[in-house]
Amino acid sequence: MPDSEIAQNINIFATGAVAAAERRDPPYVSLVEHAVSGDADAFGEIYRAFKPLVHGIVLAYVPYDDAGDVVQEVFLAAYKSLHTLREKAAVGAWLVRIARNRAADHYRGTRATEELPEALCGRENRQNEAAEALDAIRTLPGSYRETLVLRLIEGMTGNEIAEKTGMTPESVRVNLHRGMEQLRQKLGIRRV
Amino acid sequence: MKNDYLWDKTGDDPEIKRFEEILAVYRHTETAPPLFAAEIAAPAMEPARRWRLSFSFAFAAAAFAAIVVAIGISLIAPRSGGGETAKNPGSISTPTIESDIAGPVDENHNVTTVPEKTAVPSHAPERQTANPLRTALRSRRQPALPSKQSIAGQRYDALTGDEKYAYGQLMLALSITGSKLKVVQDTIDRIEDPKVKITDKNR
Repeated sequence: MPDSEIAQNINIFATGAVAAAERRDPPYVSLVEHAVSGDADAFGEIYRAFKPLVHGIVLAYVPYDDAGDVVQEVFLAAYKSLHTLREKAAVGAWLVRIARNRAADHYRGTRATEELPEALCGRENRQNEAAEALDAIRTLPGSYRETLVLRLIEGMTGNEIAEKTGMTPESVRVNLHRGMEQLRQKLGIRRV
Repeated sequence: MKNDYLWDKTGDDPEIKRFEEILAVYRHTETAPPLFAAEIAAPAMEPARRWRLSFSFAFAAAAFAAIVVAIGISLIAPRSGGGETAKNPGSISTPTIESDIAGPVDENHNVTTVPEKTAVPSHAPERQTANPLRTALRSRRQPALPSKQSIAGQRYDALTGDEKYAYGQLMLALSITGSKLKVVQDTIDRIEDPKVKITDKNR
């Protein structure tokens, strides 16, 4: 086996080992415990750490103008019921479930056309492209949709998505690549 | 490597970068954490709602108990007319009145009045058939039920078999209602107990 291939295998193994170690000692357990005991600052840290995640999940289903309100609803619901969370290390996955439920309640069965943020008013080409892209993403299956929103809109890396959602890095990677392929097909983009 | 850029932003991929630039307008904005403590600090609404729900349950249970008691009393209560009645099957309770009737004419052509107790047939037979429940009971050759006032004064041992049965049924209904009320009260207490953690399993 060539040295480069051995090095590549070692690198892959090390990456996986680090990820596994992070999952064994998740960084949010102590934050959740403090938040449950009434530490407002701890909950604030949880809010700052997971807001991109929650916002991305909500945005995958709800128009931009309503996403902010739904995000607040999600964190309020989380604040009220944080003491019921048994697996504190899975707080991210728990927030994702709440976000999905709230988004589904907010717009059940509808797929509204996107309204552009006011920042883009007057820039019609960009306006159309952004709305078209987001609408196209929202037509994808849920797992692809959410992963692409977290990556392309919220700017999270694959590892960050895996860590905060509780998914395996391999699943996230598959969702990203297959999601992008389907997005290109919908937008009629040929991969160069 | 283009694949690495999609994964961890290493390398270069113009297509992915363009998507990021276009869609960046939808990215979340950094805001301060909300102060949920103030919203949670008004617990009156939620417990009040729970109290309203629990009150409605208690009210429904109390109403059911009242209905059961009313039915029981109507079964045991006497027919109208009151008075002592013979404990004979099919006997009819008839009130008595005292009335002055014209007596014989004396030698002075004065009509004497003779007070006489006269049994006046009551309209009980009509009332008997008016209530189908009572008719059904009498068809079973039940004795005439004693008056409500006399029940209170009687000892349980003095009751007939059917009366004891009716009394027992009433007590059973009341005990069932009481147990239901207790279940409701226990549920209320469990919900209100802050030591009890409400999880998805026991929600």
